Amino acid sequence: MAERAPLWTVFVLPVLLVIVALVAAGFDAVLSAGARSGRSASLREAAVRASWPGREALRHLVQQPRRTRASDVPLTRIGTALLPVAAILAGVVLPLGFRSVSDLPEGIVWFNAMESLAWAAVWLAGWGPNSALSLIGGYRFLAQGLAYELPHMLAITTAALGAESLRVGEVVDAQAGLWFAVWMPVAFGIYLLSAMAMAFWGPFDQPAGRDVAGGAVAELSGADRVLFLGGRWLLLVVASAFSVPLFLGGGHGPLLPGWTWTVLKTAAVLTVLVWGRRKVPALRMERYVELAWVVLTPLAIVQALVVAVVVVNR
Amino acid sequence: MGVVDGLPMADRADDRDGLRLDLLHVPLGPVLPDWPSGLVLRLALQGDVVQEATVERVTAPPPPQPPFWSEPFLRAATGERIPRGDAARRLCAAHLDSLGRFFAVAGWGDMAARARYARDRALAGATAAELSALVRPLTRRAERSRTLRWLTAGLGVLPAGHARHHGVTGPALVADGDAHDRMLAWLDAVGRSAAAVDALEVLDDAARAVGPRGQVVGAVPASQALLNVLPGLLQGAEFACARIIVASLDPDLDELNHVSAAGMVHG
Repeated sequence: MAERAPLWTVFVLPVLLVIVALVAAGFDAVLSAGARSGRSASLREAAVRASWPGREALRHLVQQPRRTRASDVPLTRIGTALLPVAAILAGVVLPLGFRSVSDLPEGIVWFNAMESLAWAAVWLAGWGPNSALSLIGGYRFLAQGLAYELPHMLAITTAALGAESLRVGEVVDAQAGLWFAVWMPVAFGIYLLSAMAMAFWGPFDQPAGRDVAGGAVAELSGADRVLFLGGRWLLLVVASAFSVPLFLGGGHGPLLPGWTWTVLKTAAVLTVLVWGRRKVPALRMERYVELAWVVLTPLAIVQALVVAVVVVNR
Repeated sequence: MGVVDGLPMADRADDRDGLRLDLLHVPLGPVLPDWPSGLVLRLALQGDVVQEATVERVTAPPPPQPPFWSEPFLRAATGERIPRGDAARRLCAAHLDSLGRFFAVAGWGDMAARARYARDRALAGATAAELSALVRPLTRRAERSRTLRWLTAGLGVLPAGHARHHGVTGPALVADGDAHDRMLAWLDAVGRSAAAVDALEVLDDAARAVGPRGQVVGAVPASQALLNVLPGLLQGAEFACARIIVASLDPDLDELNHVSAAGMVHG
Protein backbone atom coordinates (compact mmCIF):
# COMPACT_ATOMS: atom_id res chain seq x y z
CA MET A 1 0.00 0.00 0.00
CA ALA A 2 1.23 3.48 -0.82
CA GLU A 3 2.46 5.72 1.96
CA ARG A 4 0.96 9.08 2.56
CA ALA A 5 3.44 11.79 1.54
CA PRO A 6 4.10 14.73 3.92
CA LEU A 7 1.87 17.79 3.75
CA TRP A 8 4.28 20.00 1.80
CA THR A 9 3.90 17.74 -1.25
CA VAL A 10 0.48 19.35 -1.74
CA PHE A 11 2.32 22.45 -2.88
CA VAL A 12 4.99 20.59 -4.81
CA LEU A 13 2.51 18.60 -6.91
CA PRO A 14 1.20 21.47 -9.08
CA VAL A 15 4.73 22.78 -9.64
CA LEU A 16 5.96 19.34 -10.64
CA LEU A 17 3.03 18.82 -13.01
CA VAL A 18 3.58 22.21 -14.64
CA ILE A 19 7.28 21.43 -15.18
CA VAL A 20 6.50 18.07 -16.78
CA ALA A 21 3.83 19.73 -18.95
CA LEU A 22 6.31 22.39 -20.09
CA VAL A 23 8.89 19.76 -20.97
CA ALA A 24 6.30 17.76 -22.92
CA ALA A 25 5.05 20.88 -24.70
CA GLY A 26 8.66 21.81 -25.51
CA PHE A 27 9.26 18.37 -27.00
CA ASP A 28 6.11 18.79 -29.07
CA ALA A 29 7.24 22.24 -30.20
CA VAL A 30 10.58 20.82 -31.38
CA LEU A 31 8.78 18.16 -33.42
CA SER A 32 6.38 20.75 -34.87
CA ALA A 33 9.16 23.13 -35.84
CA GLY A 34 11.00 20.22 -37.44
CA ALA A 35 8.01 19.49 -39.67
CA ARG A 36 7.54 23.18 -40.45
CA SER A 37 11.06 24.15 -41.41
CA GLY A 38 13.31 21.11 -41.43
CA ARG A 39 15.51 19.61 -38.74
CA SER A 40 17.18 22.07 -36.38
CA ALA A 41 20.73 22.87 -37.43
CA SER A 42 22.23 23.23 -33.96
CA LEU A 43 21.54 22.39 -30.35
CA ARG A 44 21.01 26.08 -29.71
CA GLU A 45 18.29 26.26 -32.33
CA ALA A 46 16.60 23.18 -30.83
CA ALA A 47 16.64 24.86 -27.42
CA VAL A 48 15.04 27.99 -28.86
CA ARG A 49 12.37 25.86 -30.48
CA ALA A 50 11.75 23.96 -27.25
CA SER A 51 11.22 27.18 -25.32
CA TRP A 52 8.44 28.24 -27.69
CA PRO A 53 5.50 27.15 -25.45
CA GLY A 54 6.93 29.09 -22.51
CA ARG A 55 7.50 32.20 -24.58
CA GLU A 56 4.05 31.87 -26.11
CA ALA A 57 2.47 31.65 -22.65
CA LEU A 58 4.29 34.82 -21.55
CA ARG A 59 3.24 36.60 -24.73
CA HIS A 60 -0.42 35.78 -24.07
CA LEU A 61 -0.12 36.96 -20.49
CA VAL A 62 1.03 40.43 -21.49
CA GLN A 63 -1.32 40.65 -24.47
CA GLN A 64 -4.43 42.82 -24.41
CA PRO A 65 -7.31 40.35 -23.98
CA ARG A 66 -10.16 40.61 -26.46
CA ARG A 67 -13.79 39.80 -25.80
CA THR A 68 -16.65 38.80 -28.08
CA ARG A 69 -19.97 40.62 -28.23
CA ALA A 70 -22.56 39.52 -25.64
CA SER A 71 -20.27 36.87 -24.20
CA ASP A 72 -20.97 35.23 -20.87
CA VAL A 73 -17.81 36.17 -19.00
CA PRO A 74 -18.38 34.22 -15.72
CA LEU A 75 -19.15 31.02 -17.62
CA THR A 76 -16.05 31.36 -19.77
CA ARG A 77 -13.89 32.12 -16.73
CA ILE A 78 -15.23 29.14 -14.78
CA GLY A 79 -14.66 26.90 -17.78
CA THR A 80 -11.08 27.99 -18.38
CA ALA A 81 -10.06 27.88 -14.72
CA LEU A 82 -11.73 24.51 -14.17
CA LEU A 83 -9.51 22.67 -16.64
CA PRO A 84 -6.15 23.03 -14.83
CA VAL A 85 -7.86 22.66 -11.45
CA ALA A 86 -9.44 19.38 -12.53
CA ALA A 87 -6.07 18.13 -13.80
CA ILE A 88 -4.26 18.94 -10.55
CA LEU A 89 -7.03 17.48 -8.38
CA ALA A 90 -6.89 14.28 -10.44
CA GLY A 91 -3.12 14.25 -9.85
CA VAL A 92 -3.62 14.05 -6.07
CA VAL A 93 -3.96 10.25 -6.17
CA LEU A 94 -0.95 9.79 -8.48
CA PRO A 95 1.77 7.84 -6.66
CA LEU A 96 5.34 8.94 -7.31
CA GLY A 97 7.08 5.67 -6.64
CA PHE A 98 4.97 4.42 -3.75
CA ARG A 99 3.95 7.76 -2.28
CA SER A 100 1.03 9.90 -3.32
CA VAL A 101 -0.31 13.12 -1.90
CA SER A 102 -3.39 11.22 -0.82
CA ASP A 103 -3.98 7.51 -1.29
CA LEU A 104 -7.77 7.65 -1.01
CA PRO A 105 -9.54 4.32 -0.48
CA GLU A 106 -11.52 5.01 -3.67
CA GLY A 107 -8.73 6.79 -5.53
CA ILE A 108 -9.69 5.43 -8.95
CA VAL A 109 -13.21 6.83 -8.62
CA TRP A 110 -11.75 10.16 -7.50
CA PHE A 111 -9.51 10.28 -10.57
CA ASN A 112 -12.38 9.50 -12.89
CA ALA A 113 -14.64 12.07 -11.23
CA MET A 114 -12.01 14.81 -11.50
CA GLU A 115 -11.23 14.16 -15.12
CA SER A 116 -14.95 14.29 -15.87
CA LEU A 117 -14.85 17.93 -14.77
CA ALA A 118 -13.08 18.53 -18.07
CA TRP A 119 -16.43 17.97 -19.79
CA ALA A 120 -17.94 20.89 -17.98
CA ALA A 121 -14.81 22.98 -18.47
CA VAL A 122 -14.58 22.59 -22.26
CA TRP A 123 -18.31 22.93 -22.72
CA LEU A 124 -18.48 26.16 -20.68
CA ALA A 125 -15.44 27.61 -22.42
CA GLY A 126 -17.04 26.79 -25.78
CA TRP A 127 -20.49 28.09 -24.88
CA GLY A 128 -19.47 31.23 -23.00
CA PRO A 129 -17.98 33.43 -25.73
CA ASN A 130 -21.20 33.40 -27.81
CA SER A 131 -19.43 32.39 -30.99
CA ALA A 132 -20.52 29.72 -33.47
CA LEU A 133 -17.08 28.20 -33.92
CA SER A 134 -16.30 27.80 -30.22
CA LEU A 135 -19.81 26.45 -29.69
CA ILE A 136 -19.15 23.76 -32.30
CA GLY A 137 -15.94 22.94 -30.43
CA GLY A 138 -17.90 22.54 -27.19
CA TYR A 139 -20.49 20.31 -28.87
CA ARG A 140 -17.78 18.18 -30.39
CA PHE A 141 -16.18 17.63 -27.01
CA LEU A 142 -19.49 16.50 -25.51
CA ALA A 143 -19.94 13.99 -28.34
CA GLN A 144 -16.36 12.86 -27.83
CA GLY A 145 -16.84 12.65 -24.06
CA LEU A 146 -19.94 10.49 -24.40
CA ALA A 147 -18.07 8.20 -26.76
CA TYR A 148 -14.79 7.84 -24.87
CA GLU A 149 -16.03 7.78 -21.29
CA LEU A 150 -17.73 4.39 -21.30
CA PRO A 151 -14.80 2.36 -22.72
CA HIS A 152 -12.52 4.46 -20.50
CA MET A 153 -14.44 3.64 -17.32
CA LEU A 154 -14.52 -0.04 -18.27
CA ALA A 155 -10.75 0.04 -18.82
CA ILE A 156 -9.91 1.55 -15.42
CA THR A 157 -12.50 -0.69 -13.75
CA THR A 158 -10.67 -3.65 -15.27
CA ALA A 159 -7.46 -2.58 -13.53
CA ALA A 160 -9.33 -2.14 -10.24
CA LEU A 161 -10.90 -5.56 -10.76
CA GLY A 162 -7.49 -7.15 -11.29
CA ALA A 163 -6.27 -5.69 -7.99
CA GLU A 164 -9.62 -6.20 -6.22
CA SER A 165 -9.35 -2.66 -4.87
CA LEU A 166 -10.17 0.91 -5.84
CA ARG A 167 -7.14 2.16 -3.90
CA VAL A 168 -4.40 3.20 -6.33
CA GLY A 169 -1.67 2.00 -3.95
CA GLU A 170 -3.14 -1.51 -3.90
CA VAL A 171 -3.41 -1.56 -7.69
CA VAL A 172 0.33 -0.86 -7.78
CA ASP A 173 1.04 -3.57 -5.17
CA ALA A 174 -0.94 -6.10 -7.19
CA GLN A 175 1.52 -5.59 -10.08
CA ALA A 176 4.65 -6.50 -8.11
CA GLY A 177 4.98 -9.67 -10.18
CA LEU A 178 3.28 -9.00 -13.49
CA TRP A 179 2.23 -5.67 -14.98
CA PHE A 180 -1.43 -5.35 -15.81
CA ALA A 181 -0.53 -4.11 -19.28
CA VAL A 182 0.73 -7.62 -20.03
CA TRP A 183 -2.44 -9.51 -19.28
CA MET A 184 -4.94 -6.68 -19.93
CA PRO A 185 -3.55 -5.31 -23.19
CA VAL A 186 -6.96 -4.29 -24.55
CA ALA A 187 -7.80 -2.28 -21.43
CA PHE A 188 -4.36 -0.64 -21.58
CA GLY A 189 -4.79 0.31 -25.24
CA ILE A 190 -8.26 1.71 -24.61
CA TYR A 191 -6.93 3.64 -21.62
CA LEU A 192 -4.22 5.27 -23.74
CA LEU A 193 -6.76 6.24 -26.41
CA SER A 194 -9.11 7.72 -23.85
CA ALA A 195 -6.23 9.50 -22.10
CA MET A 196 -5.69 11.40 -25.35
CA ALA A 197 -9.44 11.92 -25.82
CA MET A 198 -9.76 13.29 -22.30
CA ALA A 199 -7.16 15.97 -23.02
CA PHE A 200 -8.65 16.42 -26.54
CA TRP A 201 -5.22 15.69 -27.83
CA GLY A 202 -3.88 13.65 -30.72
CA PRO A 203 -6.42 12.24 -33.14
CA PHE A 204 -9.04 13.51 -30.70
CA ASP A 205 -8.23 17.21 -30.95
CA GLN A 206 -11.25 18.01 -33.09
CA PRO A 207 -12.93 20.04 -30.30
CA ALA A 208 -9.98 22.43 -30.69
CA GLY A 209 -9.62 21.74 -34.42
CA ARG A 210 -8.08 24.04 -37.01
CA ASP A 211 -11.22 23.75 -39.12
CA VAL A 212 -13.21 25.63 -36.46
CA ALA A 213 -10.37 28.10 -35.86
CA GLY A 214 -9.44 26.40 -32.59
CA GLY A 215 -13.03 25.54 -31.61
CA ALA A 216 -13.48 25.71 -27.84
CA VAL A 217 -10.23 27.69 -27.65
CA ALA A 218 -11.06 30.02 -30.56
CA GLU A 219 -12.19 33.06 -28.60
CA LEU A 220 -9.95 32.72 -25.54
CA SER A 221 -7.20 35.26 -25.17
CA GLY A 222 -4.74 36.46 -22.59
CA ALA A 223 -4.57 34.66 -19.25
CA ASP A 224 -7.71 32.66 -20.09
CA ARG A 225 -5.96 31.12 -23.05
CA VAL A 226 -2.85 30.26 -21.05
CA LEU A 227 -4.96 28.65 -18.32
CA PHE A 228 -7.03 26.63 -20.76
CA LEU A 229 -4.26 25.42 -23.05
CA GLY A 230 -1.97 24.85 -20.06
CA GLY A 231 -4.76 22.92 -18.37
CA ARG A 232 -5.03 20.76 -21.44
CA TRP A 233 -1.34 19.88 -21.22
CA LEU A 234 -1.70 19.19 -17.49
CA LEU A 235 -4.61 16.85 -18.23
CA LEU A 236 -2.53 15.03 -20.82
CA VAL A 237 0.36 14.69 -18.37
CA VAL A 238 -1.86 13.49 -15.51
CA ALA A 239 -3.80 11.07 -17.72
CA SER A 240 -0.65 9.51 -19.15
CA ALA A 241 1.04 9.44 -15.73
CA PHE A 242 -1.95 7.59 -14.33
CA SER A 243 -1.45 4.78 -16.83
CA VAL A 244 1.75 3.93 -14.90
CA PRO A 245 0.14 2.88 -11.56
CA LEU A 246 -2.85 1.42 -13.40
CA PHE A 247 -1.15 -0.76 -16.01
CA LEU A 248 2.63 -0.37 -15.98
CA GLY A 249 3.46 -1.52 -12.47
CA GLY A 250 3.84 1.92 -10.87
CA GLY A 251 7.18 2.20 -9.07
CA HIS A 252 8.05 -1.48 -9.45
CA GLY A 253 11.29 -2.16 -11.28
CA PRO A 254 14.79 -3.49 -10.70
CA LEU A 255 17.77 -1.56 -9.23
CA LEU A 256 16.48 2.02 -9.37
CA PRO A 257 14.33 3.54 -6.62
CA GLY A 258 10.57 3.56 -7.13
CA TRP A 259 10.14 7.22 -8.02
CA THR A 260 12.65 7.01 -10.89
CA TRP A 261 10.68 4.16 -12.40
CA THR A 262 7.50 6.20 -12.20
CA VAL A 263 9.22 9.14 -13.88
CA LEU A 264 10.79 6.97 -16.60
CA LYS A 265 7.57 5.14 -17.39
CA THR A 266 5.57 8.37 -17.44
CA ALA A 267 8.11 9.93 -19.77
CA ALA A 268 7.87 6.92 -22.07
CA VAL A 269 4.07 7.06 -22.24
CA LEU A 270 4.08 10.83 -22.78
CA THR A 271 6.66 10.50 -25.56
CA VAL A 272 4.55 7.91 -27.32
CA LEU A 273 1.44 10.09 -27.08
CA VAL A 274 3.15 13.31 -28.19
CA TRP A 275 5.11 11.66 -30.98
CA GLY A 276 2.27 9.39 -32.09
CA ARG A 277 -0.02 12.39 -32.53
CA ARG A 278 1.91 13.38 -35.65
CA LYS A 279 1.16 10.11 -37.41
CA VAL A 280 -2.58 10.44 -37.81
CA PRO A 281 -5.16 13.04 -38.81
CA ALA A 282 -7.88 14.10 -36.36
CA LEU A 283 -10.80 11.71 -36.03
CA ARG A 284 -14.07 13.21 -37.16
CA MET A 285 -16.55 12.98 -34.32
CA GLU A 286 -19.39 11.16 -36.06
CA ARG A 287 -16.95 8.49 -37.20
CA TYR A 288 -15.33 8.12 -33.79
CA VAL A 289 -18.67 7.81 -31.99
CA GLU A 290 -19.48 4.86 -34.23
CA LEU A 291 -16.12 3.21 -33.50
CA ALA A 292 -16.46 3.78 -29.76
CA TRP A 293 -19.89 2.22 -29.46
CA VAL A 294 -19.58 -0.60 -31.95
CA VAL A 295 -15.97 -1.70 -31.41
CA LEU A 296 -14.32 -0.24 -28.30
CA THR A 297 -17.12 -0.70 -25.77
CA PRO A 298 -17.74 -4.40 -26.55
CA LEU A 299 -13.96 -5.02 -26.54
CA ALA A 300 -13.64 -3.36 -23.13
CA ILE A 301 -16.51 -5.47 -21.77
CA VAL A 302 -14.91 -8.70 -23.02
CA GLN A 303 -11.60 -7.66 -21.45
CA ALA A 304 -13.31 -6.97 -18.12
CA LEU A 305 -15.03 -10.34 -18.33
CA VAL A 306 -11.74 -12.18 -18.92
CA VAL A 307 -10.13 -10.43 -15.94
CA ALA A 308 -13.18 -11.14 -13.75
CA VAL A 309 -13.02 -14.85 -14.58
CA VAL A 310 -9.29 -14.95 -13.76
CA VAL A 311 -9.81 -13.13 -10.46
CA VAL A 312 -12.69 -15.38 -9.39
CA ASN A 313 -10.66 -18.53 -10.11
CA ARG A 314 -7.57 -17.28 -8.33
CA MET B 1 -35.16 36.70 -37.31
CA GLY B 2 -34.96 38.05 -33.75
CA VAL B 3 -32.04 40.19 -32.74
CA VAL B 4 -30.49 40.20 -29.27
CA ASP B 5 -27.72 42.63 -28.45
CA GLY B 6 -27.23 43.35 -32.12
CA LEU B 7 -26.70 39.68 -32.93
CA PRO B 8 -29.16 37.55 -34.93
CA MET B 9 -30.83 34.71 -33.04
CA ALA B 10 -31.37 31.23 -34.42
CA ASP B 11 -34.52 30.72 -36.49
CA ARG B 12 -36.49 27.56 -36.79
CA ALA B 13 -36.97 25.70 -40.03
CA ASP B 14 -37.81 22.22 -41.30
CA ASP B 15 -34.85 19.90 -41.55
CA ARG B 16 -34.40 17.01 -43.95
CA ASP B 17 -36.32 14.63 -41.68
CA GLY B 18 -39.32 16.93 -41.47
CA LEU B 19 -38.56 18.14 -37.95
CA ARG B 20 -38.55 21.81 -36.99
CA LEU B 21 -35.09 22.64 -35.68
CA ASP B 22 -33.02 25.70 -34.91
CA LEU B 23 -31.49 27.22 -37.98
CA LEU B 24 -28.37 29.28 -37.51
CA HIS B 25 -26.93 31.51 -40.19
CA VAL B 26 -23.15 31.44 -40.02
CA PRO B 27 -20.85 33.12 -42.50
CA LEU B 28 -17.53 31.36 -43.09
CA GLY B 29 -14.57 33.38 -44.31
CA PRO B 30 -13.15 35.55 -45.72
CA VAL B 31 -10.51 35.12 -43.01
CA LEU B 32 -10.43 31.68 -41.43
CA PRO B 33 -7.36 29.52 -40.98
CA ASP B 34 -6.74 27.26 -44.00
CA TRP B 35 -9.52 28.86 -46.02
CA PRO B 36 -9.34 29.97 -49.67
CA SER B 37 -8.71 33.66 -49.12
CA GLY B 38 -11.47 36.02 -50.17
CA LEU B 39 -14.17 33.37 -50.21
CA VAL B 40 -17.31 33.90 -48.14
CA LEU B 41 -19.72 31.01 -47.63
CA ARG B 42 -23.06 31.82 -46.07
CA LEU B 43 -24.20 28.67 -44.33
CA ALA B 44 -27.55 27.80 -42.86
CA LEU B 45 -26.68 25.31 -40.13
CA GLN B 46 -28.98 23.01 -38.21
CA GLY B 47 -26.87 21.68 -35.39
CA ASP B 48 -23.65 21.10 -37.26
CA VAL B 49 -25.28 20.04 -40.54
CA VAL B 50 -25.20 22.39 -43.52
CA GLN B 51 -28.73 22.83 -44.88
CA GLU B 52 -27.88 25.44 -47.42
CA ALA B 53 -24.78 27.19 -48.66
CA THR B 54 -24.39 30.20 -50.87
CA VAL B 55 -21.13 31.46 -52.27
CA GLU B 56 -20.08 35.09 -52.11
CA ARG B 57 -16.72 36.66 -52.53
CA VAL B 58 -15.01 39.70 -51.27
CA THR B 59 -14.83 42.19 -54.06
CA ALA B 60 -11.29 43.41 -54.08
CA PRO B 61 -9.73 45.99 -56.36
CA PRO B 62 -8.25 44.15 -59.35
CA PRO B 63 -4.67 43.18 -58.59
CA PRO B 64 -1.98 44.60 -60.86
CA GLN B 65 -0.32 41.26 -61.50
CA PRO B 66 -1.86 38.02 -62.84
CA PRO B 67 -2.89 35.36 -60.27
CA PHE B 68 0.29 33.89 -58.82
CA TRP B 69 -0.42 30.17 -59.12
CA SER B 70 -1.52 30.14 -62.77
CA GLU B 71 0.80 32.91 -63.94
CA PRO B 72 3.25 30.83 -66.05
CA PHE B 73 0.34 29.08 -67.73
CA LEU B 74 -1.43 32.36 -68.51
CA ARG B 75 1.76 33.75 -69.99
CA ALA B 76 2.28 30.60 -72.04
CA ALA B 77 -1.28 30.86 -73.28
CA THR B 78 -0.55 34.29 -74.71
CA GLY B 79 2.27 32.76 -76.73
CA GLU B 80 5.21 33.49 -74.47
CA ARG B 81 7.94 30.81 -74.40
CA ILE B 82 7.96 29.39 -70.87
CA PRO B 83 10.40 26.61 -69.87
CA ARG B 84 8.58 23.42 -68.92
CA GLY B 85 10.48 23.31 -65.60
CA ASP B 86 9.18 26.72 -64.51
CA ALA B 87 5.60 25.72 -65.13
CA ALA B 88 6.13 22.39 -63.35
CA ARG B 89 7.67 24.19 -60.37
CA ARG B 90 4.68 26.51 -60.02
CA LEU B 91 2.21 23.65 -60.46
CA CYS B 92 4.04 21.56 -57.86
CA ALA B 93 4.06 24.43 -55.37
CA ALA B 94 0.40 25.25 -56.03
CA HIS B 95 -0.72 21.70 -55.31
CA LEU B 96 1.51 21.49 -52.23
CA ASP B 97 -0.17 24.69 -51.04
CA SER B 98 -3.60 23.11 -51.57
CA LEU B 99 -2.46 19.92 -49.85
CA GLY B 100 -1.26 21.98 -46.88
CA ARG B 101 -4.76 23.41 -46.48
CA PHE B 102 -6.36 20.01 -46.97
CA PHE B 103 -4.20 18.30 -44.34
CA ALA B 104 -4.65 21.16 -41.89
CA VAL B 105 -8.42 20.99 -42.20
CA ALA B 106 -8.30 17.21 -41.81
CA GLY B 107 -6.53 17.84 -38.49
CA TRP B 108 -3.15 16.51 -39.62
CA GLY B 109 -0.93 19.43 -38.63
CA ASP B 110 2.31 17.54 -39.10
CA MET B 111 1.61 16.70 -42.73
CA ALA B 112 0.31 20.21 -43.38
CA ALA B 113 3.58 21.65 -42.08
CA ARG B 114 5.62 19.25 -44.23
CA ALA B 115 3.61 20.05 -47.36
CA ARG B 116 4.12 23.77 -46.76
CA TYR B 117 7.83 23.30 -46.17
CA ALA B 118 8.09 21.45 -49.48
CA ARG B 119 6.08 24.23 -51.16
CA ASP B 120 8.47 26.86 -49.84
CA ARG B 121 11.47 24.83 -51.00
CA ALA B 122 9.90 24.46 -54.45
CA LEU B 123 9.39 28.21 -54.75
CA ALA B 124 12.88 28.86 -53.42
CA GLY B 125 14.30 26.98 -56.37
CA ALA B 126 15.06 23.50 -55.04
CA THR B 127 16.38 21.00 -57.59
CA ALA B 128 14.30 18.08 -58.83
CA ALA B 129 16.31 15.69 -56.67
CA GLU B 130 15.81 17.67 -53.46
CA LEU B 131 12.15 18.28 -54.15
CA SER B 132 11.45 14.65 -54.99
CA ALA B 133 13.18 13.59 -51.77
CA LEU B 134 10.87 15.93 -49.84
CA VAL B 135 7.73 14.95 -51.68
CA ARG B 136 8.15 11.18 -51.79
CA PRO B 137 7.71 10.46 -48.04
CA LEU B 138 4.81 12.90 -47.98
CA THR B 139 3.03 11.08 -50.78
CA ARG B 140 3.73 7.69 -49.27
CA ARG B 141 2.33 8.65 -45.89
CA ALA B 142 -0.79 10.26 -47.30
CA GLU B 143 -1.50 7.42 -49.73
CA ARG B 144 -0.98 4.72 -47.12
CA SER B 145 -2.92 6.36 -44.31
CA ARG B 146 -6.01 4.25 -43.74
CA THR B 147 -7.27 6.77 -41.20
CA LEU B 148 -7.16 9.56 -43.76
CA ARG B 149 -9.03 7.39 -46.24
CA TRP B 150 -11.61 6.47 -43.59
CA LEU B 151 -12.10 10.16 -42.75
CA THR B 152 -12.19 11.73 -46.20
CA ALA B 153 -13.60 9.06 -48.53
CA GLY B 154 -17.17 9.63 -49.65
CA LEU B 155 -17.12 13.39 -49.01
CA GLY B 156 -18.16 15.76 -51.78
CA VAL B 157 -18.50 13.15 -54.52
CA LEU B 158 -18.08 14.85 -57.90
CA PRO B 159 -18.40 12.40 -60.81
CA ALA B 160 -16.57 13.38 -63.98
CA GLY B 161 -19.82 13.74 -65.95
CA HIS B 162 -21.29 16.16 -63.45
CA ALA B 163 -17.99 18.05 -63.23
CA ARG B 164 -17.72 18.41 -67.01
CA HIS B 165 -21.30 19.63 -67.16
CA HIS B 166 -20.38 22.50 -64.84
CA GLY B 167 -17.22 23.30 -66.75
CA VAL B 168 -14.81 21.95 -64.14
CA THR B 169 -11.40 21.13 -65.58
CA GLY B 170 -8.08 20.21 -63.97
CA PRO B 171 -7.48 17.91 -60.99
CA ALA B 172 -11.09 17.92 -59.75
CA LEU B 173 -12.17 16.52 -63.12
CA VAL B 174 -9.28 14.06 -63.36
CA ALA B 175 -9.98 12.74 -59.84
CA ASP B 176 -13.55 11.78 -60.80
CA GLY B 177 -14.62 11.08 -57.23
CA ASP B 178 -14.60 12.25 -53.62
CA ALA B 179 -12.35 14.46 -51.51
CA HIS B 180 -9.88 11.62 -51.01
CA ASP B 181 -9.63 11.02 -54.77
CA ARG B 182 -8.95 14.71 -55.35
CA MET B 183 -6.15 14.58 -52.80
CA LEU B 184 -4.68 11.56 -54.60
CA ALA B 185 -4.87 13.46 -57.89
CA TRP B 186 -2.90 16.33 -56.34
CA LEU B 187 -0.31 13.95 -54.88
CA ASP B 188 0.11 12.31 -58.26
CA ALA B 189 0.57 15.66 -60.02
CA VAL B 190 2.98 16.85 -57.30
CA GLY B 191 5.15 13.77 -57.72
CA ARG B 192 5.31 14.13 -61.49
CA SER B 193 5.93 17.87 -61.55
CA ALA B 194 8.55 17.67 -58.78
CA ALA B 195 10.59 15.42 -61.05
CA ALA B 196 10.27 17.90 -63.93
CA VAL B 197 11.30 21.17 -62.27
CA ASP B 198 14.71 21.14 -63.96
CA ALA B 199 13.37 20.68 -67.51
CA LEU B 200 14.50 23.43 -69.86
CA GLU B 201 12.55 22.78 -73.06
CA VAL B 202 9.61 25.03 -73.88
CA LEU B 203 6.15 24.17 -72.57
CA ASP B 204 4.23 22.35 -75.30
CA ASP B 205 0.71 23.18 -76.42
CA ALA B 206 -1.03 20.38 -74.55
CA ALA B 207 0.35 21.34 -71.13
CA ARG B 208 0.19 25.05 -71.84
CA ALA B 209 -3.43 25.69 -71.09
CA VAL B 210 -3.94 23.63 -67.92
CA GLY B 211 -2.96 25.36 -64.69
CA PRO B 212 -3.24 24.12 -61.11
CA ARG B 213 -7.04 24.61 -61.02
CA GLY B 214 -7.75 23.73 -64.64
CA GLN B 215 -8.02 25.47 -68.01
CA VAL B 216 -6.58 28.97 -67.90
CA VAL B 217 -8.18 30.04 -71.16
CA GLY B 218 -11.92 29.85 -71.69
CA ALA B 219 -15.14 31.65 -70.93
CA VAL B 220 -15.30 30.61 -67.25
CA PRO B 221 -12.17 30.67 -65.07
CA ALA B 222 -11.36 27.26 -63.63
CA SER B 223 -11.96 28.41 -60.07
CA GLN B 224 -15.38 29.85 -60.96
CA ALA B 225 -16.44 26.40 -62.14
CA LEU B 226 -15.27 24.97 -58.80
CA LEU B 227 -17.32 27.60 -56.95
CA ASN B 228 -20.35 26.70 -59.06
CA VAL B 229 -20.34 23.06 -57.97
CA LEU B 230 -19.51 23.85 -54.34
CA PRO B 231 -23.00 24.64 -52.87
CA GLY B 232 -24.44 21.40 -54.24
CA LEU B 233 -21.65 19.37 -52.67
CA LEU B 234 -22.02 21.07 -49.30
CA GLN B 235 -25.73 20.44 -48.83
CA GLY B 236 -26.30 17.98 -46.00
CA ALA B 237 -22.64 17.81 -45.03
CA GLU B 238 -21.54 17.91 -41.41
CA PHE B 239 -19.47 20.99 -40.52
CA ALA B 240 -16.09 19.23 -40.52
CA CYS B 241 -17.00 17.46 -43.78
CA ALA B 242 -17.94 20.79 -45.31
CA ARG B 243 -14.51 22.19 -44.48
CA ILE B 244 -12.84 19.14 -46.01
CA ILE B 245 -14.95 19.48 -49.18
CA VAL B 246 -14.02 23.16 -49.57
CA ALA B 247 -10.35 22.34 -49.01
CA SER B 248 -10.44 19.49 -51.50
CA LEU B 249 -11.67 21.82 -54.27
CA ASP B 250 -9.56 24.77 -53.10
CA PRO B 251 -10.73 27.44 -55.55
CA ASP B 252 -8.26 30.27 -56.12
CA LEU B 253 -10.21 33.53 -56.00
CA ASP B 254 -7.35 35.48 -57.52
CA GLU B 255 -8.25 33.88 -60.84
CA LEU B 256 -11.71 35.44 -60.68
CA ASN B 257 -10.40 38.88 -59.84
CA HIS B 258 -7.95 38.67 -62.71
CA VAL B 259 -10.67 37.95 -65.23
CA SER B 260 -12.83 40.82 -64.06
CA ALA B 261 -9.78 43.05 -64.22
CA ALA B 262 -9.01 41.95 -67.76
CA GLY B 263 -12.67 42.54 -68.65
CA MET B 264 -12.42 46.08 -67.33
CA VAL B 265 -9.33 46.81 -69.35
CA HIS B 266 -10.86 45.57 -72.57
CA GLY B 267 -14.37 46.88 -71.95
